[in-house]
Amino acid sequence: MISRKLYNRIALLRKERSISRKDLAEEIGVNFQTVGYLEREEYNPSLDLAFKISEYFKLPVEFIFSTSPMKPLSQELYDQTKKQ
Amino acid sequence: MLINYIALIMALIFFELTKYGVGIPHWAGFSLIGVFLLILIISFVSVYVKSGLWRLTHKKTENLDEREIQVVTHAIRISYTIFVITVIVIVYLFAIFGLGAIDVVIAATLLYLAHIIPTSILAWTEKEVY
Repeated sequence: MISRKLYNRIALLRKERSISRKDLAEEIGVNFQTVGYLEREEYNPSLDLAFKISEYFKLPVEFIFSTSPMKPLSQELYDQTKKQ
Repeated sequence: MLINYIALIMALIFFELTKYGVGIPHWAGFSLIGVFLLILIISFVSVYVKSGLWRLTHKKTENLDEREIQVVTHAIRISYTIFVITVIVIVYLFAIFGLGAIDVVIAATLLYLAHIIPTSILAWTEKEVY
């Protein structure tokens, strides 16, 4: 079975919080190279790992992962402001 | 990696040539086998051990993360097919050409291949090795 590509904001969130790949990997219980694969969107995480990542960043899973390409955060913020 | 395979094949060829005494004196045959074995060991250490690939394929499943389990399982699945075909070809060649029983060197080569084929597949497919 060929699965769909999952897009994510892991790299952005990690850099925003100044966390190294190694530290993030230790927190979510994977090898640091796996974090690299996740950030480059070359590997789709399991549901369990996706939840671990969302719990670590304290953000909803749908904010970190998406089946469509992620909008820039500034665009998303602008769209939300317009809605309000 | 290619050097490792070539050294393995060459050592095996010279062993068989020396064993059957085909066109090569014993001392020269054994010297060449020694040289190729040395190349084999050096290339094995530098390609498989130092890169960490050997450790990755031989780690217990509980010490691997979900992506590693996936890539190692995939590599083992492909290598199983390659290994089975290799063994069948060797067995048939020995049977067809009446070469007798498979000797200990070929058995050892097959054992070595069983271990390095998954590692070689990972070396080709993995972008990052440690």
